[in-house]
Amino acid sequence: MTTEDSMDDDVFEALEDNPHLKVGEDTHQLKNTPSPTGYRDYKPPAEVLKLCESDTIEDSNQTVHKTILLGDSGVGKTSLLVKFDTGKFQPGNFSATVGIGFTNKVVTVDNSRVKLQIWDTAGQERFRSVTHAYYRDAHALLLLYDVTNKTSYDNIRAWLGEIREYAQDDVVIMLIGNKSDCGPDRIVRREDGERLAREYNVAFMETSAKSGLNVELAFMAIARELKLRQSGQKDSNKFSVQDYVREETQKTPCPPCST
Amino acid sequence: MASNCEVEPGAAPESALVTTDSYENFQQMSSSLEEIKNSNFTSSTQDEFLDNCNNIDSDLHVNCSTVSVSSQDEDYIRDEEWLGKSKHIFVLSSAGKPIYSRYGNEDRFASYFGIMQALVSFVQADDDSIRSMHAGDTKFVFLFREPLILVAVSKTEECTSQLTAQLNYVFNQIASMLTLSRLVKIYEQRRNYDLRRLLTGVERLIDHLLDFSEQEPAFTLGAVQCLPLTSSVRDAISSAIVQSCSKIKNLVFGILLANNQLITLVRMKKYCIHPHDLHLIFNLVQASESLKTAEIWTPLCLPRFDASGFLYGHVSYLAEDCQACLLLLTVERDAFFSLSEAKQRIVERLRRGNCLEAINESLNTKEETCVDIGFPELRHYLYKCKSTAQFHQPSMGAPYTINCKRLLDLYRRAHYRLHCPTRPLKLLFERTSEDALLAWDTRGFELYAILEPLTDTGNAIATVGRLLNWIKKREDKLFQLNAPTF
Amino acid sequence: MATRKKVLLKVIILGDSGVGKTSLMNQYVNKKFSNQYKATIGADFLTKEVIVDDRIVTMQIWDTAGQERFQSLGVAFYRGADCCVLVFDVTAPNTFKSLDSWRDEFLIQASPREPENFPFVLLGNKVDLEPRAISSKRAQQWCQSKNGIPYFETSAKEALNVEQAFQSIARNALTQQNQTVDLYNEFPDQIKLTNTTNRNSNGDSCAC
Repeated sequence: MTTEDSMDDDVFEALEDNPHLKVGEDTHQLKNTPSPTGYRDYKPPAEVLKLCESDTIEDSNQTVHKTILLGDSGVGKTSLLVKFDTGKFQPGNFSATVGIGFTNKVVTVDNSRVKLQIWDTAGQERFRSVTHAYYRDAHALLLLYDVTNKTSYDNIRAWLGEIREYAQDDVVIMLIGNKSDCGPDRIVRREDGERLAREYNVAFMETSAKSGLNVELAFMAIARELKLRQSGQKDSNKFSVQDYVREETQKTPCPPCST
Repeated sequence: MASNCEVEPGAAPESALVTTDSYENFQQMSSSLEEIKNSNFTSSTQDEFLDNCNNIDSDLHVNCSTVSVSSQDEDYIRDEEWLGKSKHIFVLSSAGKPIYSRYGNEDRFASYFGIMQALVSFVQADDDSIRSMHAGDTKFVFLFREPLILVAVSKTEECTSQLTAQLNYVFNQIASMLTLSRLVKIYEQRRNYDLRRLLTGVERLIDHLLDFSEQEPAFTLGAVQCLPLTSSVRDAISSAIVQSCSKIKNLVFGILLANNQLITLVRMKKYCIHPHDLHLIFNLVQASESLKTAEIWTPLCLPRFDASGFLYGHVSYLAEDCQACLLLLTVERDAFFSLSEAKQRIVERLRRGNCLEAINESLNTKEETCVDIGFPELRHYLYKCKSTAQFHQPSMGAPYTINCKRLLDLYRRAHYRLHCPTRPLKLLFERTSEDALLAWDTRGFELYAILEPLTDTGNAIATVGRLLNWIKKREDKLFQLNAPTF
Repeated sequence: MATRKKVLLKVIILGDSGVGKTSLMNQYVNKKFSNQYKATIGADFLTKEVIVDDRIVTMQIWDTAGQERFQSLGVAFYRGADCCVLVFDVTAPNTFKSLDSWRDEFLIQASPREPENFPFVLLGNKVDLEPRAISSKRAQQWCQSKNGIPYFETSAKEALNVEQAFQSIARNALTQQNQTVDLYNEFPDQIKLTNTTNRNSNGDSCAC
């Protein structure tokens, strides 16, 4: 558990220190780069500039991998993303996402950079018409439930139904049981999540946006899979998210309860 | 009692805000709404109405003596804290299905909701509509806006029309999440629909709206307050928005706000925004912490603008070092990326023009109290320029720093006296042992001034005259005096 | 997705006076977790929490209280009902004959979107009494002719079948709730800017 912070920092450090990074010359691209998160945007112009320029290195035709966070309202989609993006956990009763939120994140997979465009959706039914529009272009879906909320788990089947209806057939899906730090409040067992994931043949892991457990891993596994697919190396024998996740998952189902 | 100003402070040839009298007919919405039949809201005046209410009483015995209560509702009926709340707000469908309760879980008032529906239906059966009931110090105010019933149960000093106005805000908040047309169609399809499934998370917005509207004079006045900025800075901000969005089609409004104050509002030609809609936007921004985590794309219906459809909003904070919130509202569903890029350009321009610093500086400057600005006999005031629907108030000074509720009650009461449909006053001067109040309604402005209790009429008028001049001199800082367009 | 809120089911109970509607309700409700409001505005209702398929719901049962005035309340009381319970007295043939008109009355007043699929439940009450005038078979035939309405024979007096009948009522009412409204395809929500000149041009800014 003590490694969580350093895990999150890895991403940033990798970005800054990566020897492969060169300052690109195509500054024009800056204008066309969709804005990253509000927070990223907050950096002083020079830095922003540098960051954006470095985004365009290696291959100018670098694809943006679209990833969507889905699941019932209140399962912790935003918290998971904020933890991944900033390393911080928003304590307390965080207000519901309005519509959809947009975050760009560049991660490093095997020394090359993968750009994730992450859409954080509101779980509420009334926003469905807006969010459906984004399913179609998605390369990966992180589908969350809350291990302390049975309804959110039960609704996963309905979510998968919607995904089947609106998303591409080959979309990468990862099922995530969030709030695994909950201790005695847990209602949905880990095995239940695993069983459901097997049934639908999707990857599974439990995470905690609060403790940081597996947060990095969830996004990195997605990034790895997407990168391999894109580079044409995708061969189901070589890499499978499921296997990767299984190997890498930190098996700490019950972290020390902090009170 | 003429002021020396030729034009009232804050007046401008053009306004981006729809101008209002606060007691205009709240039923009236945009054209697309007119098709929707409203209940028979008769135009009987307030006072007549109160008389009528007493008559209703004899017809409408809900026979409480036979009420035998047990089980879950009992908790609340016996719950002192719940009973002690000064104002309850309930929302139900016209079928009597619970939608919202301000306090306590609405699940648990099935019987109350049933009674509320029965009362409304009973009066409706005679092609009439119930507006309020009065029992001791408690007012029961009803608002039936197809397809919802809204009820306030209040022990506050607010009059019926003010409570009705608050219920209207609640209704509009709900409509802004779904559009009114959808709301109506849902119930056309399914009369027994449980609307709560579509309103997950909206309870919070309504909770916030209710608190907000009770603490903010903006709601009473039907106006918005601007963040004080020199006109050159405000113009620079406006033009940064205009220039950055020049190539974007169908962008209707660009709104920059901070700390519950408007920085600038840029609009499409011919379109104005209603202060009530702007209040809903302020409420959304203030109640949604999550807006700070990322750029957001969200549908949003502004009921006074067009209740039949959604605008789509790109919502984001300018920068970590400048917590002003920018909303770019369009009719296009798929304009996220172009607006996201426009936002980048806006921030770049604002940064280059040192506007972010200027905004921060204003946000960090504590506003002056009346004493600070050289009016020792004046405690507080609200000045509303009618033509631009903007208002200004100084910082709270003693003694209201402790009891600002009293101040707001005074303003609400005075506002009602000036806008009471039966006998609206133009000028009101009242003195109690605690304070003196002067309220003045002219064609161009409304002014509410709270003075030291010993102030006499002459002094009060003289003070107010000086105050108007003082505001006039600072009008270009306190108000947005132009209405820039894309 | 689905709300975790407790659903309120609105049930209307109809039938000739004297068939035992109020007794049935009282028998069913006046145990624990029940309460009763008696209003003289034309209808009474009782609420009771019930568990249907592991789900707690609040059932609110509206009774005409045998008052003629109920007729004048019509639409408002029937509006948004989730289930309609028709009651007759198995020893009184006339109460059985009126069932059609009660059903029609309900469908006219409540005008549900799909009348043929609206959930009704029929209760033949007073089976503890003799002589019996309406056979079980006859009642069932009537139910069959109405698209298969569930039928229960009850005795409010002896608490026979009452619990089971209301369980069925609750379950039937809940089926209505579970249908969703198609929000997205049926309701266009695009604002057209072209036809909207002069929007919001009213106001008190006029300086005349």
